[in-house]
Amino acid sequence: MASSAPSDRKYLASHEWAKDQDGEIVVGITDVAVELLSDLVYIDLPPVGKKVTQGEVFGEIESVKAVSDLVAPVNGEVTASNEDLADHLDDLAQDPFDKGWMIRIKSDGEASLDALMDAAAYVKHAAVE
Amino acid sequence: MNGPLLWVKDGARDPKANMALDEALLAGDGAWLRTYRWVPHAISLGYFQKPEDFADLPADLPRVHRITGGGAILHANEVTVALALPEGLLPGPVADSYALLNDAVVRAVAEHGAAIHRAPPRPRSDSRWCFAAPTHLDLTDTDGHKVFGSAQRRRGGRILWHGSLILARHELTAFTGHLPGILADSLAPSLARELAATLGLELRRANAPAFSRPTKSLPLVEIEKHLAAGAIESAAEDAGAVAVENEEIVASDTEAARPGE
Repeated sequence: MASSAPSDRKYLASHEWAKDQDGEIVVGITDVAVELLSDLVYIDLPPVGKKVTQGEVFGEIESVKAVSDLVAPVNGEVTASNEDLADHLDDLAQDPFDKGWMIRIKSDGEASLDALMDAAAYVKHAAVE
Repeated sequence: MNGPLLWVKDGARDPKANMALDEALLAGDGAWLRTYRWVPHAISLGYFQKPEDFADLPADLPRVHRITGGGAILHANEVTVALALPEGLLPGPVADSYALLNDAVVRAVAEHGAAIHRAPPRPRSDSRWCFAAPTHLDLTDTDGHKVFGSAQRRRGGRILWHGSLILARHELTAFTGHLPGILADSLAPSLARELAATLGLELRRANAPAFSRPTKSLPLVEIEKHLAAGAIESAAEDAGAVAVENEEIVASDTEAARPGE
């Protein structure tokens, strides 16, 4: 499946993106994730202050026929949650790399984005989905 | 051929035990299919649904949450299927996986002389009930009523697919389709064979898995009690059984809490 993954961020195999912005990590899901899930109906994001752990679930998203986990790219604390998203899932469907951001994380520094895929590697990974 | 699809031809179990078993299959390894029924009859709520939205229904009908999404189902006279497997066995968009699995269900039902069909495309329903309004990812009987509904959970590179095939209508959900004259015990082997063939897996009979950790749905001690007691009403043995295996499933203890818990 073709992805137009921007090169200014890193990616997880489970189709989340993570962008270092002003010292915090902004997190969302990719265009391929949106296409795989299709019709999005519900999202559950963590509140500000919630601790998240790299590789573990930070939220859940439901499409018409599947509930899927959202996986955190780093350890840290949630500093912002896109509360508008639940009522505007179209934003996520149409603009997953910008308007569709989900949370910001203040990383505790123990796990960096270095280990994640860059855009080129992610595009290759997504092509076989 | 990848292998095998381990099939637990289960009988009827308590609602919480049913959900705990399926949750453990999702957290485990390999490809598993469990076919089963519900005693007592119960309402399963979709993962994000709230019990208070069902307060108008009889209090003696147990409520249980599914780990899969979608609308509520009143489980009475039906065959329930739970398929747990690696995502790699069902690649591509979620909708494609439904089409593939639904076609297997259509063929299984056809073996018993009944015709069910994919529903035509229509806007998503806001009903609290799964079976109130079919979408193109559901199956309907010849009268156009939804007779098979399903939902998925995707976690950690694995998929749990829950499906309910209604054999006889319940008075509280009289809007469902039905398949009069077909017995659950005869339909289950057909479903297992067709799903295995669709997935390209060798079908192999298995016992209900043992647990080594609690699931979110039920503490370990409760699960062990249910497994020791066996199914409430044993399923008839299938002459086509090829093997029985014991497998241990290790349930995840790192699950996210359901909203509101």
